[in-house]
Amino acid sequence: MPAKNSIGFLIVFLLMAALITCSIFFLFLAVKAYSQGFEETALYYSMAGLMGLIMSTYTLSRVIRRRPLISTTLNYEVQTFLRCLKCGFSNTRGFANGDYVLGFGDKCPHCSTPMVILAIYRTTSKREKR
Amino acid sequence: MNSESVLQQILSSEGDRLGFIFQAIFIALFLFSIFYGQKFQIWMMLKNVEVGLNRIKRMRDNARQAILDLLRRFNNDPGLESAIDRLLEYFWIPPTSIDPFGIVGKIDHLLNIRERRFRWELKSIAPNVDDSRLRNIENLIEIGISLDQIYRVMRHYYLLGKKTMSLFLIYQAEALMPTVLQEAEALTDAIKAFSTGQPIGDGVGSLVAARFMYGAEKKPISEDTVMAEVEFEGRKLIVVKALGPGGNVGKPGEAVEKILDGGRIAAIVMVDAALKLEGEEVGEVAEGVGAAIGGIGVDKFKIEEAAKKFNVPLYAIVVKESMSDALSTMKWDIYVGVEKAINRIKRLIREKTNVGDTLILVGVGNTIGIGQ
Repeated sequence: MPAKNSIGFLIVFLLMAALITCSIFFLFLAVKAYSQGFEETALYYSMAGLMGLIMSTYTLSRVIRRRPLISTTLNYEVQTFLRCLKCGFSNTRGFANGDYVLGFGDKCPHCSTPMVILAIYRTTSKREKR
Repeated sequence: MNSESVLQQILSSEGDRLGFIFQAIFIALFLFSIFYGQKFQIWMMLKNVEVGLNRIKRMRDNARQAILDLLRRFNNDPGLESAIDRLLEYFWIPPTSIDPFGIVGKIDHLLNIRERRFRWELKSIAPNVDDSRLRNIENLIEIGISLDQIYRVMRHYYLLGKKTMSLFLIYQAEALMPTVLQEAEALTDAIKAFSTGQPIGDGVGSLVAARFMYGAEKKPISEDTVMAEVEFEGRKLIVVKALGPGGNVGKPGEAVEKILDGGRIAAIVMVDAALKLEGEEVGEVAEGVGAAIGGIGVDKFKIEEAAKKFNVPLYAIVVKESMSDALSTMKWDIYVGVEKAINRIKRLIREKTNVGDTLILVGVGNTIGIGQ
């Protein structure tokens, strides 16, 4: 399926690129015609050029947007928040395997009592930022 | 002939020739839209479905790989892949609903068999793994099964639509795709949390209960479920939650039935995560009445039945979050919601019960990464 999809994408992309080129050429002709006094012809060319440009850019943007650009894997950091229930000292560090909320973590640097893990949370992911 | 003369030639021809060209293009487009318009529309829709399907397939393959990577730490057997594939295709047949009487008991029975069988299979694959880790792997495989099922169903409609070229079939598949993708992405987000044993948003109810029972003596009350008795401003609070920190939801329905059978209870307070609507904030707390518990409905049925039988009021407190938040590692906003929920519960107890009363507090949800 992916190979077939790429060929289809390439065909649509090339067709739309050709249409954009034609539309720009038509707009160029419209400007020339207007400057030489052919107002009616200039109107026809500008209409054709604009229509072509709108249609091609719209189709192209739809085709490009359809392709999955967003990664499906969340990329975030997980932090562990610990507090010493004896002296109140608190600390936040990266999550380590085996950590769990209300479990014991590292020893308090002030009173050497094992600190309690009060929260394990994730920071904002890249996808959410987007 | 230079470009200037070509331009002059084009421009010197009157509007008639140009008009003819435009008319020809218009007729050609008109005929194209009559004969091929619908086919072109179908082609575009099929392409949209195909792109979505490829994303779901990638998510499913990633989930399978994550399960394999995790289990390879405990078992390097060459037959591991086929064993995992067999588990991923595991299904259960819901009982007949032609005669709905007693259907909840039948569902409960079948789900218990499924759970036991599943655990047995996992134990045979990884015999040395501890119970807590085993529950996490079990949850991970459940995610794999869900993603596999989503992929198979969507692929079925895609291929059927392609085969029959039925506009309505393809239209339905395309219309459903954004919602299905959202669900699949939420499941994918859960893989990291379940592989490493981090708490997920769904565990908010368990965390509230754990905060109430912290430091008290815990006793098992039903399978994978614990309870503790704590005192709160002269009331006796019986707190129930699933056994953590492994990925468990426990059997709160059975636990509540047992406690109600054992003595007079003034009220039942249930805390759970609830799906937020678009526009609502993560961690928002709401209050109401009823059994705040999701799932198939077995535990909800048991709690409602027991509450009705003993005429005990059921109060519910929910913390709002999206599907993705519920299945991925807990956000800080949810911890803020936990604090708010605790304050609401304390206020509710003061308002609705008297000193000397006994009440039940049930923390509902998956307790992965949350102890007690």
